[in-house]
Amino acid sequence: MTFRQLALSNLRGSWLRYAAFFLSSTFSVTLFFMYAQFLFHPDLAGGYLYGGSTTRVVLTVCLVLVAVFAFFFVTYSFGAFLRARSQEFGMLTLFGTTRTQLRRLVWLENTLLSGLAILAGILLGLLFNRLFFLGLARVLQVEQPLSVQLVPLALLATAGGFFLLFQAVIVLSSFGLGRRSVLELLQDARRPRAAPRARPIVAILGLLLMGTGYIVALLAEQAAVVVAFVPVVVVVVTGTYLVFSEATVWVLNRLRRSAGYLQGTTMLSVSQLVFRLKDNARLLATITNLSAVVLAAAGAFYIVTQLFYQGVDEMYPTALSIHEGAGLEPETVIGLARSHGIDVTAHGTVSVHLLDAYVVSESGAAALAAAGGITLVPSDPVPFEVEGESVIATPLEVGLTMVPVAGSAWYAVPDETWDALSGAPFRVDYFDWEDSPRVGLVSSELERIVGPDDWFRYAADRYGEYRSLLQVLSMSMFTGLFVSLLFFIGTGSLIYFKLFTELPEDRRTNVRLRRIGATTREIRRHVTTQIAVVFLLPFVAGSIHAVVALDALGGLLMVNVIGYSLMVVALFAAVQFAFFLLTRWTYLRALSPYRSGLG
Amino acid sequence: MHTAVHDPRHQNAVLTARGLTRIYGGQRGGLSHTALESFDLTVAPGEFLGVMGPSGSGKTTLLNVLATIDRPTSGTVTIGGIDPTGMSHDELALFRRRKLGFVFQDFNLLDTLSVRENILLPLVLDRVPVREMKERLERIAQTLGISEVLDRRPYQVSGGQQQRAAIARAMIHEPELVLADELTGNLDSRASQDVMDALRGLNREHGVTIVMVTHDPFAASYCRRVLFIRDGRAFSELVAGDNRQVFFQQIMDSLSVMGARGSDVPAARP
Repeated sequence: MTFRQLALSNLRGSWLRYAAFFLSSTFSVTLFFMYAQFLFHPDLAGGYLYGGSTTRVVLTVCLVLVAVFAFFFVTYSFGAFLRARSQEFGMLTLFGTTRTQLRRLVWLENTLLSGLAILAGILLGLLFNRLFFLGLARVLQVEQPLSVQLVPLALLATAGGFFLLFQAVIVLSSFGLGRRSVLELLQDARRPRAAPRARPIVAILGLLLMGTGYIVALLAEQAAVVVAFVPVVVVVVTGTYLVFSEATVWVLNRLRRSAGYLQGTTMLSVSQLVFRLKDNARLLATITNLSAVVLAAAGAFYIVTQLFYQGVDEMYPTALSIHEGAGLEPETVIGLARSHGIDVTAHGTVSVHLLDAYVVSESGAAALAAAGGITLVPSDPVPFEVEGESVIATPLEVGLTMVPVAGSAWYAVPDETWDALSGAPFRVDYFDWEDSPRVGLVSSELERIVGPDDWFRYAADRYGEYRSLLQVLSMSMFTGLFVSLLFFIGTGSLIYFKLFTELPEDRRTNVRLRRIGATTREIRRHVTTQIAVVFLLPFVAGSIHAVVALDALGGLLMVNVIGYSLMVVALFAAVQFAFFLLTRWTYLRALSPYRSGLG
Repeated sequence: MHTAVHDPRHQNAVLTARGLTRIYGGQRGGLSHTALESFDLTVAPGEFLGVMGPSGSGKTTLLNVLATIDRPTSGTVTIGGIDPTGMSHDELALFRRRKLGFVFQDFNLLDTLSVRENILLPLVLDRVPVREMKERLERIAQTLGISEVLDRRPYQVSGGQQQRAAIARAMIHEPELVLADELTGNLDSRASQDVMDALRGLNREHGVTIVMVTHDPFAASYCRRVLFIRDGRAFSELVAGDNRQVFFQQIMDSLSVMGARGSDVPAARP
């Protein structure tokens, strides 16, 4: 049997053991690839993405963070994978396999495995992209907002980056192999360890770092937020890790001295959590920070979208305005709206002369303002030339509802000047009505009456603007939400796999507890507590990070975003909780309650 | 067999087993194996009974059935006047926890807990008041000579200390009956002696009722009565006299009488 055959048959024979490492690697690749596809997409590079530099900087930082944390994920799961196999390596060493051979075996197996993971990850990423775009288009009843295509840059970055990453991790991690004695390797799987002790100073330092980051993020002025962004992220990330590795242990060790500790299953859960949290501190801190990034990104998308809608409302102070060229009588429009049960709240008409600028009479402007069509700028009247004569005119700021839409200036001139103007003015009708799901029907019926070309030329329709905005923005928003959801599935799976690497140990504990008469209910409570803490602690901590980050973003955009942030957090909390229930269910099943015996 | 009913010990026996039979397998056309066959056993309060027999003689099956971990194919077991037949899994668990104490070959201590916490575990699960726990713990730790190691974790103390901690856990809730399975199997001779001395002390001075399954004639020599079983049936019985050395020799003789498979009998320990 050649070495390659041994490696291959290892892969085939104990597929299940490789599955955890393989799947977490695949998830990392998929996640990174989807982010990359999104960021490097040519349609987006064109500038669809709102928020200019700030949002783009945030997104790029996200991608970098995803890459950094993918590194930790992979290193971590590979380490766990090697540890789980240490007995097997001990056995091989016992049979006379040399250290070099052992490393070659590990390298060969895992290079194959990581190659498969990269391939599977990219394919999954493409599949998800496609499914997602199709689903999105369906839900929104719009054309596909972003073309599904393989972005070469994303592909290159993902495949190349992960290949290098895997090679580095495999070579570095397997370096430690063979350094230890056969006995150590054989015993590695279950060697009891000293209980972790907290270093209170480090715990306090962690809390201080986190607190400082929060305060700076919350108090920083608009301009300072951008400058402080990177330092604050570094400080908070470091603080989070210290809090997870030290402060949690400190709290649990305090709990050990409390009165309630010696009652019920608390003793079991707390004493085991000390180990579990300490062992998983890096993973949990990583998941916390990633959750924060993802929650913040999703929140940012959501907030930005909401801001856009507000922007449309400002640009379109009335629901509809129609140039006389459309050939529609106001009565037709009002009648149609009423027939759909929509209450018309305002209607106005104004006559406009097109000269060097758009010119209306002062009384017309006043009537228009009353109908909500324009805002009179409180600036001083300026000299304005009308048909060779200089008159005093008031500049007007006009909503985009004015047709024909143009960047030209608008002026109101005294009524006498207006009356003296030669040539025929054109008429514009303004309508406003209550918001209703049937507004779209009115729009599309009017468009059918007028014809699409004239409708485009002569009508300014707020609803239509919403719809085209939705086309553009929903893509960003939903991709953000979707990738975030994917991320939570990824981290959820990682915790899930991590828990399952501890299953043999938990089974032993389970048997021991049963032998001395612990009930099923008590064991379930004990296991549930552990899983709940490991699952929900990072999410809760991550949510707090994210709310703070979004608040800082709100400061940047000068809006209050707490309500939006909480909505996003609640959505993901539901996902995370569902994952927790699923994990608990499968884990309890895997613990197989009736496999106990004295022997 | 019916004469046994008139034995005065039966009036308030801690444990009574009647006609215990346990057959493994045999479903779906597989081979069946009778591990226990019409086995009777009575244990009086304050007894220290040893059960010996070669591998496969059915002694572990007997212990599992007595421990309510395995159910007999037929026959009944009554412990402290209660017949656990028909109890649910959780009722059985509570029954084991409150009426029985267990000592295992592998100690069965939890790695994450300190020795103190391991000993207290049955009381903690039953939410006994903390003050009462402390009193009981102090007493039993003193008796077993492990007061100094209570705050260490199991892996930090010797095998003998671990087993004594396990004995303390098996006793702390004052069970009707303590069941021990090869409790010296993982110990060197010095630790075995410590553990058996401790167990005998508990039996003599505190009247704890013990049933111990063992391979080890040295450990068995501490019992007051030793029952030999082979092929799932009682083979013979010995009752201890005043001298443990003499009893040890008697046990060795019985084993060699019974031992068609002499290899199962370990070399004698002093």
